[in-house]
Amino acid sequence: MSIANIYLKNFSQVFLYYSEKGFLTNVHPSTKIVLMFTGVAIAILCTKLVVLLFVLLLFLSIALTSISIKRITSLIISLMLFISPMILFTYIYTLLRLRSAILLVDTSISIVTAMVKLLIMSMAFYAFFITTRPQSIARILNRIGIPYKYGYGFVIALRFLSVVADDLVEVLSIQKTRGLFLGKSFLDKVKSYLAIFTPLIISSLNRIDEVTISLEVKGFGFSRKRIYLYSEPFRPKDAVFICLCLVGLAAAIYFYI
Amino acid sequence: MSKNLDIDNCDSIVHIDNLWFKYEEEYVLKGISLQIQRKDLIIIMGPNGSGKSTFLKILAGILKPERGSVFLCNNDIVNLSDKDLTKLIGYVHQNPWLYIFNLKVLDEISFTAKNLGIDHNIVTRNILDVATKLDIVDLLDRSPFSLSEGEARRVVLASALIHKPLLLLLDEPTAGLDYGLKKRFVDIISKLNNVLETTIIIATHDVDIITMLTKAKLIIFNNGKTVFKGFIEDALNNPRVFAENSLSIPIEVELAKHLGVHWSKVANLNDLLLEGDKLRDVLCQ
Repeated sequence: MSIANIYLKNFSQVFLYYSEKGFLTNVHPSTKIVLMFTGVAIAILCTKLVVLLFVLLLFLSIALTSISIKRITSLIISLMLFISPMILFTYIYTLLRLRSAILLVDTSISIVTAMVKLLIMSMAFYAFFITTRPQSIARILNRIGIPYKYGYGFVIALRFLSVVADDLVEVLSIQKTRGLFLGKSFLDKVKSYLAIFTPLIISSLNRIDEVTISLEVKGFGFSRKRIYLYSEPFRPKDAVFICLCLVGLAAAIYFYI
Repeated sequence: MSKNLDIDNCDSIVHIDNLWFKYEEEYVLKGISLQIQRKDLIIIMGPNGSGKSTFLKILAGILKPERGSVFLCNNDIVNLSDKDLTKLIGYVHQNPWLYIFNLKVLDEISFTAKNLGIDHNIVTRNILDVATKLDIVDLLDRSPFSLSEGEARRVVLASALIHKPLLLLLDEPTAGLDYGLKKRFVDIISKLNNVLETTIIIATHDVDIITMLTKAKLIIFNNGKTVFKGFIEDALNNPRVFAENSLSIPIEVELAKHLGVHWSKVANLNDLLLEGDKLRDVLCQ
C-alpha cells in the first residue's frame, strides 16, 4: 500500500465513532468537550516542552482508556506524514540560509515543541470524536444553542469526510489499474488530477443527494423543537473531571498569560 | 512490458498458492489456492464479506498479498510493474461512476489504451470493435455523465477491454441491473470469452446469472475460504451448496424441484414464459 493510501485510510478513520467500552466512552459528552478545549488551550498557551510532554502523556493515558493503541499509533503516523515535509523544509532552510549549528539545535527544540502541541490538539479532538456518538454531538450542540439542523449538518459532514476519503482510495486504485500514472507529460499529470477528482466529486454529489432525500422523507427539519430518544446521564465523576480540567486550564492561563 | 514476461506461452493464467490477506485484525482470505487456465470463465460467489472483492483487488494488483503467492502468467504479481499489470488486466469495479471523468464516451473508452501508448490506429480499430460487441456505438459521441446505469456499466466494460487484456476481472457487474440487462450482459461476456478468448473472473452474489452461464466454472467463497470449486452444472445438481453458504437457490432449481423435472428443462424460465407452448410442454412432462 502506498503512503498516500495509508494516509487516506488513517484519515478516513479519524472522525468515525468507534464503540469500545472504557472510561472516556462512558463520560458525558459535555465533559469530553471541556477536555477537548482544555487540551487545545493548554497546547496554544504553554511554551515549555516539559509541561507539554507531561500534558501529552496525560492525554495519551486518558485516550488509551477507550481507544486501542493501534488506532492512536495510526493517528500519530498520519500526523507525522502530514508534517514531515514542513519539518524537512524548516531544516533545509535553517542549514542553507542561516548556517549555524546553535540555531539548528534551537530549531530542533522549536520543531519538537510544535509537534507536541499538534499532537496534544489532535489527541484532544480525536478522543472526543472517536468516543462520542454522532447523535450525542448533535444533541450537545443543540443544547448550547445551535439549531439542530446545523448540529446534524456538522455531524453528517464529519461522517462524510471518511466516506469521501474511502472513495478517494477506491478512485485512486481504479484509475491506477487503467494506467493513470503511466503518463509523463505535464498535460498527462493535469489530466490525472481530473481523472481522480471528477469521479470523486460526482460520487460525493450522488451521496449528498441520497442523504438529502433520506432526511427529507423522514421529515427532518419540519419541526422547530426536537426530542431525543437517548441521552447520557451527567454523573459525579463528570463534575470531578470538569473541575480538574478547569484547574489545568486556569493554571495554564495563570502561568502563561 | 517486462522483457521476461511471456504471455503467449502460458496456459495457466493465474496460479494462487496459499493466499492470505487481512485488512485490520481479522483475515479476509485464509489460505486460498487456485489455478485458473486460459479462456476460463469463472464465477466467484459467496455471501457479503466472504472476500470476493478483496480477491479480485489482489489479482488486479491493487492490494498486496499478506502471505502466499499469486502468479500471473508464471510471474509473481508483486514483481510486476504497474504498466505490466495494466496491460495484462482489465478491472471493472462495481461502481461505474468511479471511473468516469472524460467529456465523451469515446475518450473514456480509449483512456487505458492511450496511457499504455498503443498506436492511435489500433486504438480506433479496437474502439469500434469493442463498441460494436457491447452495442454502444451510438453512445460514443455522448457525454458519459448522461448515461443510464446499464450504459455506464457497458462503457466501463469497454474501457477495460480496449487494450485486449489477458484477464478480465468484474466485481458485481450485474448489481442494479434488471433481468433484461443481465441477460444482455451475460451474452456479451459469453461472446468475449468465446470469440476474444479472454479469461474472465466475475465476483457476484447474483444467482440470476448462474443459470445463464451453466458451462462456466464456479468457486464459492465463505469466510475467506473456498468451499466449492467445480462447474456451475455440478452446483445446480447439488443446490445445498448454495443454501449452506447463505446464497439463494436459483428460482429455476426451486421450480424444477416442485415440478419434479431436471433444472435444465426450466433453465431459461423467462424465455419459457414468453413462449407458452414450451412451458406447457415442460409442465405436461
